[in-house]
Amino acid sequence: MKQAKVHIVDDDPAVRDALAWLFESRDLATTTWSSAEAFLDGPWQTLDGCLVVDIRMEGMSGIELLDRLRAGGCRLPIIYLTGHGDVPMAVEALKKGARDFIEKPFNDNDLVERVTAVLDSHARHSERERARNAIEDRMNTLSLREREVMSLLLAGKMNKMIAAELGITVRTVEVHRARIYEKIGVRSAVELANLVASLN
Amino acid sequence: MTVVLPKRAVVPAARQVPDPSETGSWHRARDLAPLLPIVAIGLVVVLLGVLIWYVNRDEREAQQLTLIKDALWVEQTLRFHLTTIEENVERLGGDLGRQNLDPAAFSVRAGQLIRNEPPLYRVLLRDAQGRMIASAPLGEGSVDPGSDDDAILLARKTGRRVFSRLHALGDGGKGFDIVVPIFDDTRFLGSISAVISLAALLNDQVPWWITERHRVSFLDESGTVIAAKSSVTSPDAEAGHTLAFDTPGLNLYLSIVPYGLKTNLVHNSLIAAILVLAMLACVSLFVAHRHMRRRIRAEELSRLQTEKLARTSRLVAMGEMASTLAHELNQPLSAIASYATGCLNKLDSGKEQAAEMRTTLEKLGFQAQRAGRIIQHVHEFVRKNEPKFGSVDLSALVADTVEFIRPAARKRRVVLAIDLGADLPMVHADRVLLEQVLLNLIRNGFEAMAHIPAKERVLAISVARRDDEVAITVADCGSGIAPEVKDRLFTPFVSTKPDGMGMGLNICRSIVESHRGRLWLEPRPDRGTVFTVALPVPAS
Repeated sequence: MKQAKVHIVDDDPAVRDALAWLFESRDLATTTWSSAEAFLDGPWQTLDGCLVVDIRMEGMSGIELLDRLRAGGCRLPIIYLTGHGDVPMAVEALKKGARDFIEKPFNDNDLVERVTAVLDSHARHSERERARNAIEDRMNTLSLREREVMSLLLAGKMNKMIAAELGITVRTVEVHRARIYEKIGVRSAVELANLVASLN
Repeated sequence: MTVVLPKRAVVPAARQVPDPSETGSWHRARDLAPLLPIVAIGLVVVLLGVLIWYVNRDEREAQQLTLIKDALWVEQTLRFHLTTIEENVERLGGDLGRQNLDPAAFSVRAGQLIRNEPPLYRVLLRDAQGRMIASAPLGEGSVDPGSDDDAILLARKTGRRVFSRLHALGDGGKGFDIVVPIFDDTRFLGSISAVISLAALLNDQVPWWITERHRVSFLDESGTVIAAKSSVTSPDAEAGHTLAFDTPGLNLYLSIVPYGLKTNLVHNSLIAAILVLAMLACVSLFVAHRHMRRRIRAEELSRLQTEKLARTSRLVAMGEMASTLAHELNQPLSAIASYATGCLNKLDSGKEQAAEMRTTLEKLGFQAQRAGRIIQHVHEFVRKNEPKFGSVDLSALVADTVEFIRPAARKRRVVLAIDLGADLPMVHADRVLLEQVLLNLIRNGFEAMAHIPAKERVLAISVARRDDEVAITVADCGSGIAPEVKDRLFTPFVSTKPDGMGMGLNICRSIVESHRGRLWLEPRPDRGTVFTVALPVPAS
């Protein structure tokens, strides 16, 4: 069974069931939760994908759920389902970082498409995040002297100038340089510069 | 979510608000109630006054009676004593007749008589010609004080003692003579005149316990005091009693006048205390009454406020109901839409499985029934709150509603121009529902003028009779309503307001039509819109 991508939190069993049916008809695996509390009791830290949450529920509201998740460091995107007259609430939710809201009764495939879009964007975002983390990890393995050499390299200085500036021999600079290329996984100064530029 | 319609009944809550036409008389009764004790205490004071007057009159009557009794007693005593003197003088006359008018014998007997009878001022013996033969007391000399010839003549003719006219005495007082004729068988020998001093008579014969309380005096026929026994002056002559002193030939009156009414100190101070207490009671009641009035006014204010609050909460409840209804209906409708879209998706992808589709369609049908049940609940809710019709004074209704909305108008800086027609006929209507209609129209008017300058915001509300109808108009001076919107304005869920539900005018028209009335709108000649609610006047 593929991993669920859409997590539905709604206190109305019929709405939950219908949404699950809808998403599955578009090949999106779902999990359903009968309340915000039930979701918070589950393994939300390890979940991936997108949350579809009814903004108005018995007990904890959708907005409060968002607060709890963000406080717990969870960055899962949230799409709210809102009813008539809930627009001010939805606006508040958007300000707090919700990804989108959709008013009931809604065009269902529109909802699916929005969820898909959010999922894609989230996936892309996550991919970038992962790459970035990898580069940062490699940067962290450089020694202090290697970092000094790297910053001078990135400033476009020649080995000789670096050696003069740091008060070391040209030979030593060459050794540092080779180690930096090896640790970061690049073959030239140009490649190194591109990588650092992509980080920022 | 569960299907819960607001249990707070919207219309019944309004039923508790009393009809102002009833509260009017109720207020009057309530205003009069505090007056009752004052009226009661006032009556007590009046009754006390009557009682005191009555007791006083009784006392006066009793005193008057005592006075008359006293006067009669004095008269009797004086008469009796005078008769005794008369008889003594007569006896003296008889004896002297037999002794041939012996002056010496007269002097002895008369001197004795005068000593015994202080009222006797003087006794004179006269011969047949009326000449004085002797007189007593001796010291008075031989001077004839003059005689009343008529009296002597009368005495001689009748052979009986008679009284002379009043005359002055030597001591300055007044008196009269008792004239007794002396006969020797049938021959007239002479007469004895016994002079009675009225002052001496009173002094001698009226006892102290009479003079202590009364002034006793003799009056002549003109009412002039001739003699009196009293040292105290100016008693109340009115309260006195005068009776004729029965002496033939003398017009003499005895007057007895009390020295003012004897008053009872305890009695009087009691009455005074009661009167003062009654006054105090009146004053304190009046103060209490004023205090109570002030409290009643405060209560009245708070009642009005509560009423306003009730009306507001009614509106809130209505809004809540509308919002709950929308939310409740959204649930099954969302589910239905999702099931349906899911089915279509499956069909499109060609991966549909008959059993799966069937289950889903069953679920879909179930959600449709759920939506139907919600609508049914609303029906029941509405039916439970069937309108309650009664006689309604539209002028009063508009006035009340305007008062209720005035704060909101002030907040939105809208001037309300009210024109209430006088003597409008009553209409058969549900007061609360009509109020809601009117409130709705007024609020619409406010919103229509939200975008024009504040000083131009005038909402004109009028009530007037138009043939067989009473018409309420609400006229704004906003930008008016576009013709294409106008046609759809009464359609449910069509709203020109960004956050409107589009129920207002539709419901308003339903309410008005349930009153067999009409609700319509027309553009104003210059600008703005007029909404008119026209209700039929009952045939009777």
